[in-house]
Amino acid sequence: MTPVLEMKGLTKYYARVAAVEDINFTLFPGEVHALLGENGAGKSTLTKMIAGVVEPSSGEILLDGKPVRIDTPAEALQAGIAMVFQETSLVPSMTVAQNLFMGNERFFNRLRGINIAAQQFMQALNFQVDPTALVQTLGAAKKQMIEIARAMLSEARIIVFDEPTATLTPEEKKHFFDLVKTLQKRGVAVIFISHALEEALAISDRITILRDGKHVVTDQTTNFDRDSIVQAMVGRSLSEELYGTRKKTVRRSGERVLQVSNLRMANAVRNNSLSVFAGQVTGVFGLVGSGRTETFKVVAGALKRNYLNGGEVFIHGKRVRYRVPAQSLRQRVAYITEDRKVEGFFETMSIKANIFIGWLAKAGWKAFWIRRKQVDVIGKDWAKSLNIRSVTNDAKVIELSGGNQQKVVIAKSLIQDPDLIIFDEPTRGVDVGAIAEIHHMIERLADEGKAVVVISSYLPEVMQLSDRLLVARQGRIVEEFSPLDATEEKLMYAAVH
Amino acid sequence: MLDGITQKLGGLMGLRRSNLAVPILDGVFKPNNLLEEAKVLSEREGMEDMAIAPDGQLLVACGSEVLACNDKGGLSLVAGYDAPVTALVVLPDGRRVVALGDRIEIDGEAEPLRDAAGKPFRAITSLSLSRDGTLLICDASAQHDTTHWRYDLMEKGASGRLVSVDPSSGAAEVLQSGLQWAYGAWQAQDGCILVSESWRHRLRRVGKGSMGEMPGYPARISPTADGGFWLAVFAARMQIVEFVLNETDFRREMIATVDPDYWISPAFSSGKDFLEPLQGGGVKQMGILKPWAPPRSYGLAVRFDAQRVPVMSVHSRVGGENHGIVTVLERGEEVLALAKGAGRLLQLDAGTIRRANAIGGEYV
Repeated sequence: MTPVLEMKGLTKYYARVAAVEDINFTLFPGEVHALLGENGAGKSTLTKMIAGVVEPSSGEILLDGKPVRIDTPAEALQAGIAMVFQETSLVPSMTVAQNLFMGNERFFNRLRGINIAAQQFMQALNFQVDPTALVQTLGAAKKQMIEIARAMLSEARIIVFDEPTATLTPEEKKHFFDLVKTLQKRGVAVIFISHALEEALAISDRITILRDGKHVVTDQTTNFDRDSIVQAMVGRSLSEELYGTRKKTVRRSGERVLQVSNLRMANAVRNNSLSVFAGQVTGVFGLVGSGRTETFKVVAGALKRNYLNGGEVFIHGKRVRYRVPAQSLRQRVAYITEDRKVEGFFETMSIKANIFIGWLAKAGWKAFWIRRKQVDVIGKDWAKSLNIRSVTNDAKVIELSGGNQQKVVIAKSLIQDPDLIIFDEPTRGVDVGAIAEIHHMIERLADEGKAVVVISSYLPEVMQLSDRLLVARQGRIVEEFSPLDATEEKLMYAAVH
Repeated sequence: MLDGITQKLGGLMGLRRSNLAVPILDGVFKPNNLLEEAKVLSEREGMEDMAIAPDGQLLVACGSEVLACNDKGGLSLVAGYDAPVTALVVLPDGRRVVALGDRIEIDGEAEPLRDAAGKPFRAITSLSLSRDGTLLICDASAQHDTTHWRYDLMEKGASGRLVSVDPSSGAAEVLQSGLQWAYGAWQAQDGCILVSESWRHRLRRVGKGSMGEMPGYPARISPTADGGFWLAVFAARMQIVEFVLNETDFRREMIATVDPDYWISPAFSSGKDFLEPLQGGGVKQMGILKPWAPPRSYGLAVRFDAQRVPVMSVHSRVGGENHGIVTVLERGEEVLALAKGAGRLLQLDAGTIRRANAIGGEYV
């Protein structure tokens, strides 16, 4: 069978540094091909070259066995190559239907017409999205659906999914996998990039692994297991270190740092009560929409609870009600967001500037006396202590890999020397190497006596890290487990029933 | 400040419902069944307090008697009194000190101690010894005696006091007054004296503020070998009781017209009479009826370490019987708990408690 897409010796240099080097890759019609690698391994560069976003330095791309030159994304789309990005490329102020047909408008458009067409098309894909809704009002999962629908609408023969499931709920993921199977039956070839290795093992026909911009291995999925993938990705076995061993000891709890009583916030948090103790990692597990994030955003002052009957929040036994997050910072509460790109950092600012912003938020009057040199020192020290890898300390955060970006966000919070640190999905979109580092950091903070909260949808992670496990469902904590006697089944049962 | 003003305004408008929030039983307070599954060493109606004599003998105050309890739970009479014994302690020289509600009798002393600082005792709930051997006396209320504790709660009494008395000279000093039902006291190694204030759900550091809110009504405190202490908690807090305490008219009517045994208030035991309030309820969630039982009575004791951080707890849950824990004592690897509600003396193994609370990383 002729491959629908073939890359031969593809290389891309940035300032004499090879981002990808001598990559050979084939993709057959109706094949799901997983592309795996740590952040910075070159997956994005490779797919950007296919999509016409980046021009290769050498090598060639063949479509249906014929060499082609793809200079722009429009040309890629014309050739039947569509990309669905992790960060959605939708226009937030436009409706679902308008986003869907953007670039394909006729000279005279009827809003009603495109709404109906969009409705029909979304229904055919079994996506429950209102075509008249503004994109900015939708959640991450629905935005992802629109992205996928857009790719389908352009009748693509090759679809590249970059971390498509990171923001989806389990039901939506199942939906997505069904959709991929439908695409497969239609002969569409899929390149699937994900950090969720289980998903890659479940969905793909073949797996290609990259490391440091170089091709490591391509083989049938049946020849891989989780450990061998991790080994190939990082060149060492991290699986055992990350999630392999079952927790045998738990830290003893210290003082009660946070007490939440009967907290209510609109429909998201309903009569929620919980405590967090010093010197422990408190894991919070729950499905998307269980009110975990909202509860802790109220604690950190980023959201406000109901004005009446909103419940109580106590920090160190003192009743608090924050109007702005700065007040919570002063009481040594840090919230490390799940959506780092929107809420975590200023992407066009440097690492040191971002870390320094964290310092400024806490500094108060001291901020008037800071010298430029001190900013450098602060940035350098934190980059070193958290092992933030970049070409220079002046590198913009947007240029860093997901794991390093997350470390910048963490550094920005830790510089405030908080007592209560809330990590919301700390390893989402982070490569396995950085996951291990972030996990060690969380453990270290708990050992130092800090009260640490880890909100995670990934069961092995939350079970491995936590000294106490809280399960959230429908806006409240419904059950508490000790990680010593908890099982994935028990946790999932509590989260669903 | 703005929050304070809105709280006040909300209170005036009857919107201060968020104040009904009570701390939940999680973390260290996570429920287990250890008290319910504990060995019943002895069972008798009217058990009130217990103490360990210097020779290791366990003494139990029961009704108007002090009884000796042997290792197999057999009880034998040590002394009888003309009134119910409400608290008991043994001095280092072996002399028994008993509280008979409004007076204290010390072995070998002709006259009972009836007042301190010119004010008579009314409701002595606890006797303990400070580090220098002085007697710490909790006089829970100046308005109600020990049997009328519910009146004190519902009338929001704050007339309790902590008194120290030198047993040899009889010199008395009021260490703290204005307490909302003082029910236990203990002096830490650093000299700090803790007193449990039941209606405020807290342990108060005499002259130095208080320790955080408790999820129940604290009772007597007893020291442990490692410098920590056991705190007996005689009932768990309920939102409905907090609500009733905010409703003055309702409370007045309830006090005037209803038998105290059937008040909406905590209790040492429950489930014995169909007339009792708060027997059950239910919530329907996702089409499934989930029964819910409010903890009118509950069994709970909490172990604190030398830094006064709670480290483990033992429970008898809503469906259980060993409720109304008023005294807990540690004797070597044995933990003894007195369940006033059930009239039982319970025996637990300290190692089992540690393992169940995953102390030291173990777990059963």
